[in-house]
Amino acid sequence: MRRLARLAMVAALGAISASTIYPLVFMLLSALKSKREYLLNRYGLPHEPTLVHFANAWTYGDMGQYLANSAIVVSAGVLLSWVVCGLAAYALSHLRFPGRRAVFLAILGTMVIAPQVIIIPLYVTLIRCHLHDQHSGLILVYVTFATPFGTYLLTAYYRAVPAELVEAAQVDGASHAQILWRIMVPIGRPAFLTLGIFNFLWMWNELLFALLILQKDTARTLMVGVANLRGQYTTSIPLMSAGLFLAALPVLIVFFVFQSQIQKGMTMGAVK
Amino acid sequence: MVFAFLFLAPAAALLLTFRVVPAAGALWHSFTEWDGVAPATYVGGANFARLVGDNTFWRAVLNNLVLVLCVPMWLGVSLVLALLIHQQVPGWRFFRATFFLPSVLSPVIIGTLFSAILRRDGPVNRGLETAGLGALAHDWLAEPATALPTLVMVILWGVFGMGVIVFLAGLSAVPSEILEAARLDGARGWTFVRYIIVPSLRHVIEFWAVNLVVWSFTSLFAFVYVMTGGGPGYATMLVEYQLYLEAFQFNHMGYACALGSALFLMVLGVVLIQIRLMTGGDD
Amino acid sequence: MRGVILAATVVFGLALTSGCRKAGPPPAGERPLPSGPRAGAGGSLTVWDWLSADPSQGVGHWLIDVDKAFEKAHPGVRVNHVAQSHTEYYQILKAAEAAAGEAGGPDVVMIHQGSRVLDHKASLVPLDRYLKPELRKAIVGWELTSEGLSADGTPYAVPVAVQGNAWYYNKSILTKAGVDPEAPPATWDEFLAVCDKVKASGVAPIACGEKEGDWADWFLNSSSFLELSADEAAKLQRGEMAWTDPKVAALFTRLEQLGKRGMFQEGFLSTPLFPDAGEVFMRGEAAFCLGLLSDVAHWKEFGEILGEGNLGVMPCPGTGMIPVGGGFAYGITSWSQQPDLAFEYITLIVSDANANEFLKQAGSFPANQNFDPRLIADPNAKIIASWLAEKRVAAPLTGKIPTEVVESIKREGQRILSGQTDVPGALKAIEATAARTKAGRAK
Repeated sequence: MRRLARLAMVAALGAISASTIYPLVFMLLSALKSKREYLLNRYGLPHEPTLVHFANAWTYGDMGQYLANSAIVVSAGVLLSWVVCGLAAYALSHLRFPGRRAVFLAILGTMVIAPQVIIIPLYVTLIRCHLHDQHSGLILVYVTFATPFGTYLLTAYYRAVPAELVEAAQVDGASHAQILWRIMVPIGRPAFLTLGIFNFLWMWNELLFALLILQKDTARTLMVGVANLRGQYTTSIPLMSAGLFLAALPVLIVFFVFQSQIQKGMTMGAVK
Repeated sequence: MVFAFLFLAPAAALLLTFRVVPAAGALWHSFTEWDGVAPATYVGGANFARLVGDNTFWRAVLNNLVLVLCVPMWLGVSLVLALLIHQQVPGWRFFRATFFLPSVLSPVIIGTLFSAILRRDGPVNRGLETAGLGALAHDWLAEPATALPTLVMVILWGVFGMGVIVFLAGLSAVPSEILEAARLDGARGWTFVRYIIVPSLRHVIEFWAVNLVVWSFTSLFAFVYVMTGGGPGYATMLVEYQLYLEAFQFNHMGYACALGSALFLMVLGVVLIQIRLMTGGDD
Repeated sequence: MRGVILAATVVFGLALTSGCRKAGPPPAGERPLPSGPRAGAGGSLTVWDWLSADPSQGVGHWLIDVDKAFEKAHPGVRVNHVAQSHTEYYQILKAAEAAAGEAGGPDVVMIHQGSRVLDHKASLVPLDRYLKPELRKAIVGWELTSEGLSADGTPYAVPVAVQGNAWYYNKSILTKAGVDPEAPPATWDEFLAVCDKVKASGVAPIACGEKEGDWADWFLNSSSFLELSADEAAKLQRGEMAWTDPKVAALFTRLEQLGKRGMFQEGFLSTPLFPDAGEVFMRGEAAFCLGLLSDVAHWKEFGEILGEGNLGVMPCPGTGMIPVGGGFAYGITSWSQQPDLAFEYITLIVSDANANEFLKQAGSFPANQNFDPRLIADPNAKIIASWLAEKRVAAPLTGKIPTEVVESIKREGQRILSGQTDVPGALKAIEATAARTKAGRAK
């Protein structure tokens, strides 16, 4: 009976896995079909697989250049976000100061602003700061948008860390920098890596601000290249699929690297 | 105390410059008639008066509330799956890797894929028909009765993997001694979850719940845009989507700002109530 | 260590706050004066469009050729052609307008003919002082790019392409259904009878893509001539006739009728108009398809798959007219520092030679009517060209009404076809939107 229940559970998990794999398979199969074959045979296996869409997506989407741009923007965004959110979360979780809860709620409050209303004023601000058309402008906007989420995530994580740990270190005469570097960062490793995954994902996939801020062709990011593969009337699903597949590969690699690091943190038993 | 403010300074500087100041501008413009470009004209509360009588707005609010009510489900699924992986059920490494796959795809892509898969002649309905369940086949995203529930399920598919990652990271912070001790005490199944796991993960669960609520109000634009466009009719209209239409399709930036202000108050209200309920007000 | 973090934090904070002293949206009433890098500085002309991103398509290829020709004719000038995403195009254009050219925005912008031109006219240069009479005469579509959407108004953009709707049909499906494919239905009732026969033969009568609500919009445009005279259509557009008028109701009833009689393929409500509805037709799964005149979902695309001899084209049965409008046009931005050069660029695009190239490369009808008619070899294209030449065309009913009202029409069309409302309910909702828009414009 127990065995049966266990089997059923694994089967259910397997079904969920299948549902997550299927769309990617659908995408890959579509990318391998010629435009005509996709029209006549949308859901089946390709009869005459072709790699032409991958080649076209690479050239039309100018992916070589855009890939480098995306890598710059996203890695800078992830790193900066770690610094900004890590500092803020440490203060909010383990330092005592008046109005702590108010500051926390205020940061949370900025998360609630719908991006659509602030697009235009934000764009004007960037121009006044001479940050438009530059990677640095997009990076700062990304870090800003990631800040409420990241601060909240790290704060939630740090609150589970016993206050005694930090207090003991303070009694021992450790400076804030030492506490941060020697205690908080190692303990927070899984949370930092999780935040890294999240930021990498959405910054990599973000489109609207990338389109808006980077008008220079040489500065544009990968998703802009992929988005431009959509036409006014026609989206060639095979071509799009090929572009998306290429764009998704780096994310998968980053995930598996980060996830194995999280795993290390878990087995090390970070909090002793 | 000086250090606290110092550590908060970068976050504060960024948020003030790129979120608060633009948002304050939007708040002011919600009392104007404005096309986003030409000088705005002050019209007092006219936009809010229109909002009160705007059927589309109220329909959108209703749909948004339905989504908020789905948050416990979105959260629960992730939590259960994360626990199972944490317990290292057979094949957990494989499950952990595959559950993440949807997160690699941006909402636009998820929406495009599911629009194709859920079509009347798509694989889902084909599968049902093959299984002899043809009566259950629907035009999922286009029938007024099924459109919103289908949207909810697609969003679940898109976010559950992220929830799993968050909870796994949270679980890794729970000292393994606590888990071991509880198990030795004979805590199993529901008791184990209710009395050991949930209290240890309290802050992380609260975090993810708040995040999902905020997200359900402000970040579903791409899903709706690609899959239904708010339709059929207004069946999947969300406030955020109406805001986009008013701002960028109809040139009513002033009214869009008013919608944005209303949305802000609405979400803030829901989140504050939620935090109070979940933490009982303690810090 | 401590010192490093401290210093880094302070520097970072200061850099952010001081660098943006003037940050924030401009206060109402104070437009920022252009400063810093100006539009098109340094011998380059910036052009925005949503068609050149895909050079595999005819139009994209043609646009890039035009750039090359322009650079050749103007040594020292570089055309900085920015391919924008069509989906986000007007969002990005709006932001560029708000920045009023401070950011070195475009000199020349592509824009849809119709209400869009008026929505953006504040940032477009009035073109009357540039337009020579012969150019005005050669090009059609001015009433969709000019003030008041009237041919006498000040033009704000130059039409480049002719776009419109026609009904295509698959002759072999009609033959199989026992209908003479060389005598397509001439009246609405005949059309319904043919559809019934097609349905009885086991094929869907009409390929429809109503996911976005656009098909209903096209249908109303193509069938409007059945109910509304040119004068009545104009009154409706100006808001002098109510949407609840019985004539308009009769028009919407035809839409409802098609849905209720099951004239569309299964799943039409979730079928996107592009490219899926056309694909249903090309797969031979439907007999009729309401398509376009240019670019895609048109004679060229359908003919290549179905065989040009197997494809027929007709106006909406019983009308003898087709709606024409909504193709793309080019305008000059108000902040451009080189409007003369920008206009020369537009002149080149719409030149006689390029009109011919447009027809050849893109399989599309140019707005410039001086194209060489011998270039049209396709039998269906010839028929369409004869309608254009005979002026059996009119601006689409919904091409001249505010975007908001069109949106309401699309959504109510979906509601009718998905059984959420009836014709009177839909028209009441549309009229409410139209009335509010009219009040807003009157202010």
